[in-house]
Amino acid sequence: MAKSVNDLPPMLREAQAKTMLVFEVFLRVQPENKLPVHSKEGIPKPDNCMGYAAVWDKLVAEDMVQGQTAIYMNIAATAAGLDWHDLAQVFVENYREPANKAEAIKASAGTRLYLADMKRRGYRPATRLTPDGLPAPAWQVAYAAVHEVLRQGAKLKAPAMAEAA
Amino acid sequence: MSCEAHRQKAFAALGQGNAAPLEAIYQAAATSPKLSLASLKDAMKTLRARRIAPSLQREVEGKWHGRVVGEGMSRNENGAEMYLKKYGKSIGVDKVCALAHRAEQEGAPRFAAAMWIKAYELENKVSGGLPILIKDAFITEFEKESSEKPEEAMKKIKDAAQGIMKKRREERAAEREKADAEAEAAQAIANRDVLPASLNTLPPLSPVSVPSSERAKFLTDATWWGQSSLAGEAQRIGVGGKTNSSDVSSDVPADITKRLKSAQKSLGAYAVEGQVIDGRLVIARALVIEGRDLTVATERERIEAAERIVQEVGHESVTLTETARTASQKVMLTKNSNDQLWFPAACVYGAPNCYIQTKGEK
Repeated sequence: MAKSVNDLPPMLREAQAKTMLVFEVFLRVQPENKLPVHSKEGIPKPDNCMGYAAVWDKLVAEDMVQGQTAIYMNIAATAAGLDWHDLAQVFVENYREPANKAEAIKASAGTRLYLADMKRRGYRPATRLTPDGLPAPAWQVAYAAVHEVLRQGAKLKAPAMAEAA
Repeated sequence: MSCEAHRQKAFAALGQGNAAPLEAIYQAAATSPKLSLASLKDAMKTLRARRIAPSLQREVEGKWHGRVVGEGMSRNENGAEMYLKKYGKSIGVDKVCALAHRAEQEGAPRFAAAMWIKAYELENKVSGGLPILIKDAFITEFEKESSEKPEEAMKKIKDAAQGIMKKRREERAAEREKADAEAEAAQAIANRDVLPASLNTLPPLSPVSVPSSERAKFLTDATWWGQSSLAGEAQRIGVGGKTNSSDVSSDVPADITKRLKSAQKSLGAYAVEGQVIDGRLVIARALVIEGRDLTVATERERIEAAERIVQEVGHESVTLTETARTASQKVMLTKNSNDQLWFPAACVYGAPNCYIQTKGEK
C-alpha cells in the first residue's frame, strides 16, 4: 500500500512538489521527450526528488522559468495579475491529502477547472493522470488551491480593469 | 531511453546545450535526505570543535550585540542571511563559527544553524550553497536538538539560578550585617550617655568563700586574678545623664561626685563597683562605660575600663583596687590583705563559682 503523502517527511513532500514543477519545465523544453520517471505514481525516488528540488530552486533563483521555459503557472498568473512565484508556493504548500470527503470533492472540481484551462492554453500537467483524467488526491488539493488563488486574482483584476476603462 | 538520459536531455535543453551545471546541482542534492543530513551533521562536528581565538570571540561578542541583536537579526535563519548579506561578503570560516557559537550561547538556534551551514559551505567551498531542503532540514533539526537537551539546559539554568540565589543571599547577609552594625553603632551613640536599665536589676556579686588551703590553686593559675575583697557590700555608683538607673549615690562625698560627673563627657555614662573608704572612692571594676554594659564582658575588660575611669578622673580621691595578675603580685596580695577575691580574667560578671573569697595570711 502506497504511503500517504501526509506521512512523508515535510522536506520530501516539498521535494516531490518541486519535482513536479521541474517536470512541467521539462515538458515545455522537450515536449516530445518522456519524463524521467518510471514509477506507477509518476514520482521519482526520494533521493532523486531531492536532486530535482535543488534544480527547481536553482531555476527560480536564476529566473530561468520564463519565456520558452515558462510553465502554465507563469501564463495563468500573468492573466490573473498575480506573481507566479506565489502560485508555485501555493502549489508546494498544498501538496497533501484532502482533509475530508468534502475537501476531496472540492479539490477534484478545482483540479478539473485548472486542468481544463491548462489544456486550453496548450499545456499538460506533469502529474500522472488516472483514467478519469485526474491526478492523485494530494495533487488535486495542490491544483485546486492554485486554481482558487487564480480565481480570486481574476476577480480582483476584473473590477480594476473596468475602472481603468 | 533511461531516466538519466531523459533528465540530461532536459537539462541540456534548459542549459542551452550544456547539461552539466544543472546535473551538478542535481547530483549534489540527489541523495537520501537522511544521508545528506547525517553527513552534514558529521561535518558540523568538526567545525564545532574548531578553536576560535579569544580576540575573535571578543570581536564577535561586540558584533552580536551591536549588529545582530541591535538590528533584530537574531531570531532565525533569515536574520543570519541578512547579516551575511550585509556584513559577510568576505567573511572567514572562523568568524562564522564564532558567530554560530555566540548564537547558541544566546539561545538563537536557528541563527546558529544558519551560521553553521555557512561555515560548512565556506569550508567545503560549496558553490551555490547547499540545497534549500537540506538547509531547512538541518535548521529544523538543529533547533529541535537545541531544545532537546533538557538535562544540559536544565543544569545550566539550575546552576545559573543557584549562582544568582547564592549571590543574592550573600548580598542580603552583607546588607543585614551592615544594617545591624550601623544600627548597633547608632544605638551605641544614642546610648552613650544613658546608663542601661539592666543595672538596676543586676544581682550583687556573691563570692563563694573557700578555705585558705585552696588558695594555692589561684596563686599558680595565670588565668585567675585576685583583688583584696571590699569590706562589706560593694557599692555601685552610676554616672549618666538621662539615666534610667541610679545616678551617683548620695553616700559619695560631693567633691568626688563632682569629679565623677566631670569625667562623663569623655567616658559617656558609666558605672563602677567600689567603696567609699575614708573619703576616697576605691573602684574594683567598671560595670558600664560609654553607655555599654560591661557585665557581659570579661573581668579583664571591666578592670581595664575601671583603670581608664580612674585615669580620666585623675584625682587622688578616686583610686583603684589593686589587681594581682602575676604569681608574685598574688603572693603580695595574700600577705597584705585580710580577704582576697579570686576570679578568672575571662569570666562574665557574677558567673557562678567564678568569684571565690579566701582569708589572707595577714
